[in-house]
Amino acid sequence: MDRPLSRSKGVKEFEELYRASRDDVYAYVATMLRDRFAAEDVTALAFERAYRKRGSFRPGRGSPRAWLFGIARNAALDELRRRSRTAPADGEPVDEDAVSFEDEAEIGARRMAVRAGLESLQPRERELVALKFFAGLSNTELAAVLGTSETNAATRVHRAINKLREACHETA
Amino acid sequence: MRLRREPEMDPSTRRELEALDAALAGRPVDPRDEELASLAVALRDDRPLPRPEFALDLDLRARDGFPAAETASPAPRPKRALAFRRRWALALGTAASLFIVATAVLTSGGGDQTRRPSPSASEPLRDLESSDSAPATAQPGIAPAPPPAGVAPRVRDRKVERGASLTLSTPRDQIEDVADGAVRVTDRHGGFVLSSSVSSGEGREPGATLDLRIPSARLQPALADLSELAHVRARTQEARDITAAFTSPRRRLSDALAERRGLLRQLARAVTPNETAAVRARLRAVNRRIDRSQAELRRLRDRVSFATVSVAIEPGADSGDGGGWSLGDAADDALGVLRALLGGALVALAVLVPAGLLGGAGWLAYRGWVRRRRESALEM
Repeated sequence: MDRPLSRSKGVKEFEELYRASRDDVYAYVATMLRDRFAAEDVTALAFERAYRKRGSFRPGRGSPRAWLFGIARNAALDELRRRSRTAPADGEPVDEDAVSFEDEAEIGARRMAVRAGLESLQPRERELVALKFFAGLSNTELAAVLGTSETNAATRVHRAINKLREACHETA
Repeated sequence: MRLRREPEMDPSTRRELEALDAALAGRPVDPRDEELASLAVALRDDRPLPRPEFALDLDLRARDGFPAAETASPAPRPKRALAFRRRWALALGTAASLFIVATAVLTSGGGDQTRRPSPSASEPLRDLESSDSAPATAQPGIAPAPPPAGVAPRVRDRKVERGASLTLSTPRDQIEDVADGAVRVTDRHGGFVLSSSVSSGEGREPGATLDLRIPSARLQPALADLSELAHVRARTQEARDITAAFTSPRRRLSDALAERRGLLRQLARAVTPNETAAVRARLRAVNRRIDRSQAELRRLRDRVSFATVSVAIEPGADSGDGGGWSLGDAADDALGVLRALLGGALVALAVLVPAGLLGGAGWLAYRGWVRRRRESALEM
């Protein structure tokens, strides 16, 4: 039977999880939202929620990283939905340049092609790429986060990466 | 368990996926997959990184255990969502309360024979209360029980014979006192003792039995008073509709009365001594029939007017403690509580299992709906 972690042990393990996943969660959320500052807020929110819910983690249901990314994904999707509802009313500007931290001149052609290809993907495909290549989740973890089978998750990743490859060829 | 079998993965797809994992792990890949591997590495190397200031701030908050939880939330929960959740919580709370109340009512409905009478316990019997159930003779100082409200006229005409039996338990040395108390209660309610037998226990099993006749209208308060005299071990009540039993003697009485009227007229017209003697002889016979019918009706009315109460007084298991709560009583009570608990659990299960199944299905549907709603953000 799955048992929640003891309090002190839970805190210690959460700290390890945080250290190992901070940049991965941010990378995933930033790719989803394409807004640097919103990504920072959602990343912080995801860790706060995970910290508060750490007692509810059940090892039998997946790895701690899959659990954490499930929380981050929910937070990111909620933010996307909120923005889709409020953006027209608020006139909130979308940070289209969120992912490009470097000056375009410094970016190599290959990188530019990859970024352009990434932009051309559907949100669901972009999410798969972000989870797999930015966050470094295994196919098992991916399946747990998306609520599907490992085979299905792997097949979807394969489809997305091939589409990205074709998009890169077209850009090049 | 998955009901649907996963389709087998294409070998080239499998190979390319393994190449992706190998590239990300820094392992060599098949030359055919070098392009894919380099794309994977390029993606990984070009991933967004957090600003150092943000990373530092988050590290500090993590170190402190995220003290201001949710304050940095960029998406304050919309009021509509909060209201929705409140409605859900309210609905669930109401359903749970209704369930608890229903369970409590159902489980309290049963009972054992030793329970003290409650005023409502006699309601079904009261519905059958006869208009003839008042004592034949008015008892001074005794207020008759009020007639039952809302009883349909046809029900009021019913003749109901009522009876009860009571088994009381008391210490050996108090059996006579309890028997005296039963007689006093009977007197107080305008009844009488039909027979009584009290044994002190010398050479015989100690105990007492009393057959009481109590005005039917006073049966419930009398039983309540009798039950106060000692520990009630058993109590039963019965009501029997004897309306049909009145029909035959009434008809016979009516016929006899009519015959007597005719005979009296014949007697008035009789002229010869023989005629007079013959009519008188027939009158005597009719009068006897009238007496028999009237007596029969009186007996029936008595059966309706007075309830028969049999009281048995037995020595308690522990007769030396002055009538307190004995071990036997404790065992009886424990058994009763256990029985009530089991009954309650059974009723609760009968409700909980289908409710749980429905709730589970509802919960799964709700989770699916939330998930689909969330993921709809990816379609926008």
